[in-house]
Amino acid sequence: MAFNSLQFMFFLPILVAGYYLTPPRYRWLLLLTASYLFYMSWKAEYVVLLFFSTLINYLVGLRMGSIAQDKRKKYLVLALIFNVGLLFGFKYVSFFNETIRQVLQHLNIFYAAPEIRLLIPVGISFYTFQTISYLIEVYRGSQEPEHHFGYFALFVSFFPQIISGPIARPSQLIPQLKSQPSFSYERMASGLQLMALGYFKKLVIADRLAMYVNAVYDNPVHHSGPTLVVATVFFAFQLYADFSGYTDIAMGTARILGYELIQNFRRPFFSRSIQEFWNRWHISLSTWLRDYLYTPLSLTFREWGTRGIIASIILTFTLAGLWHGARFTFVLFGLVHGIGLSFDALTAKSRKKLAKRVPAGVFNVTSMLLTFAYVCFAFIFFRANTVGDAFLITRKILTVNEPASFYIGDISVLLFSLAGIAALLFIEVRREYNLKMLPLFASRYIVVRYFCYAWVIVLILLLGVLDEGQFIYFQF
Amino acid sequence: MKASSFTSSSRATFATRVLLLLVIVIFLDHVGGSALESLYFSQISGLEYRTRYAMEEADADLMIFGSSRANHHYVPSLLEEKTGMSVYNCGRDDEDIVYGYAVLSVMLKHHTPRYIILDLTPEDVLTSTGRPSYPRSLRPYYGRHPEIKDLITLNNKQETIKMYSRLYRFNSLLLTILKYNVVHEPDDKGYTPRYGEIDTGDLEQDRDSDLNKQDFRVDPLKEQVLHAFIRKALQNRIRVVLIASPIYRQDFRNDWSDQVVGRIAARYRLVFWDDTCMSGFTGNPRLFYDRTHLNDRGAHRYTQLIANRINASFLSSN
Repeated sequence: MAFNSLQFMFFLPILVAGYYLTPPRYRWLLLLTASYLFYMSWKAEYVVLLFFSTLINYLVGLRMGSIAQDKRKKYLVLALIFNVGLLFGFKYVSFFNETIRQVLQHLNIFYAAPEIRLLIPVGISFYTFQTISYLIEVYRGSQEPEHHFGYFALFVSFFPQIISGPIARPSQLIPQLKSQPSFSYERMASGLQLMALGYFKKLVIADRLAMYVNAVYDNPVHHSGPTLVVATVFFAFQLYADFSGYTDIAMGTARILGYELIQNFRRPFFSRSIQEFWNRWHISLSTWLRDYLYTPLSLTFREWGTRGIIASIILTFTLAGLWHGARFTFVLFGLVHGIGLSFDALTAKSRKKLAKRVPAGVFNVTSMLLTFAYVCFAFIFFRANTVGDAFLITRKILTVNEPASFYIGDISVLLFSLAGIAALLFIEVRREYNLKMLPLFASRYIVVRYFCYAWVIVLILLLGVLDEGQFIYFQF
Repeated sequence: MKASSFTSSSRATFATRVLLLLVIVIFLDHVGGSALESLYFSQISGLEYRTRYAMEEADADLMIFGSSRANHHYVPSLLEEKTGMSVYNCGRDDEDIVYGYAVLSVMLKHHTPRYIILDLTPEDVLTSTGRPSYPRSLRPYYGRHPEIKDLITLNNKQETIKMYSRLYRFNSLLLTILKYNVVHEPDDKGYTPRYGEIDTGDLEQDRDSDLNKQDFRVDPLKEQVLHAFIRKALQNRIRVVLIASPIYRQDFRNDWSDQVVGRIAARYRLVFWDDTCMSGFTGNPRLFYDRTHLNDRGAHRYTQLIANRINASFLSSN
């Protein structure tokens, strides 16, 4: 049951109505049931895994909370092995198995292990990280273990964010789940508006851009450098509209129910450095990586000085790339960002000096454009079907061949793609610089405002790709 | 955000405003949908116009059905000249037998052709992933022809619900509708030529042969529709010729045409011309636009050949 499915259009209103009619102290049970039903709609069997993982982590959390801090380490380690093991087992074992096979084959060594193919449980990357966060916070003493199994299970399985995040922190979400929020018209309206924006981004912008991107990226050998540049830029916007659209829907859904999820995006294409980019892009993941991977690594390597910082960055982001998927293209995606962040770290002082000598506007715009270009370069690896394709695309972009033809395809796809990007930038610019949104949306006449909201729905019906295509981050 | 107190007036306000929004959406959907419907059916050329014309106006003796290969391989004016019959090409890009069945079903309400050429491709009988369960091009006809409505809603409860939206029926068609109400693009009775020759250099680098790597599994629904198409034609005393027209690749595995189409042709005692690997065509880059489509030169040559066969097989005996 994806957010953009018809089933969800029925599921949510029925749930919301039931939620606010249910006595507050029993709402957790309704939400938990709904979350499990939502999860089961993908593949019913994997709910057993979800439940089992929840139970283990719940018990470990309780155990750690009941003993002194210096005795908690072994439980944390065991739980981490369990959680990472789950993730590794379902998501990466076939990848590593196949990689070993290919390496040994290359060395003419016979490798007898059978091919392993496991269907990845939906959302495992997200809820595993979320529970790891909980365990580490309990271990550190900054989070009290949750004694109520129902609330803990709800924290792990909360349906707006179990599939593709945002990755919630226990200190942020668990208290809210226990808070029993009352009905609020403002929150309902705000939540619905956010959902509408999310659907618009996903269905009208992202899925339209995908048509052009897929036509080019699925056949890079047939396309020229300029076409690949355009497709790469389109993909950057497609991915952003798709993922931030999903997050908007998730946040809007949670808000309707009275809960606030972590902000996951903050106009990332206005970033002036890769470091700033990761402060604005997939924020829940980047902060998770910072708190639970990078910081411990950099402490471990602190005696290496600058080299230790670079090593921590490279390792963190290579693993981050791998988190996205069991493919070398994602590893390279992470590595490229690791290199970019390392460059930022090494040149921070000199860039600061340069910023003082150059007019602010020129410096900021140039920095934004260079950062955007680098981010797009990294996205080549994210989107390309194979490593070979990624390098082919990069080579074609960087070499100038005469004559260079430009692929147009269906002109309406191209026009809609450009219009979609323009619409997205319009929204982003207004938010970044705190400008008022379109005046009509803020009209004091309710009918005018509601006509505007209705037009958004009309545009979705008319221009949206409504064949229930998946959100990109669903595959992770 | 200041929360209102948990009062019935707060919920009543919300319910009222949701209702207001719904009313406005339904109003805009109805008005917009009606306007688009009117514009859709007044197009003067283009792909959508040709679909409407094929369904509701075409009255030729010989109708050509199929996908893009049908549309780009058969030249009606040449067939008319060589056979003396009136001809219309109903083929449409990116469509399969389900679309053809829909067109035929509506067409038979106003006209019964004497002959049908049905150009078949693997997509007409084999399972193909990523394709919708029914042709999207039929959505504008949902409220206009009961046959189309039944086809769309067959195994498609979700589409039934979506079709309540009149705007949804014209999803993704806005620019097309606006353009072809103004622009006139001539076509040769449904035929649209492809110009240019295949780039054989690209073929060598092309790892992905979508024909050879086709998951060779017959789609039971498509096979059912294919049978229904043939039976409907035969019941209306239409002579059906099954054709698998030429493709460029010499190493194409044509099991699907032998095993599936050949079997169907035998069952209904239909003529089946399997020209997939045809001498003089297959492997001749001058005649192909890409791996699976003839260019205009190739289409003319192939049409000439088909015309000769029709004259020899059917018309000389009449």
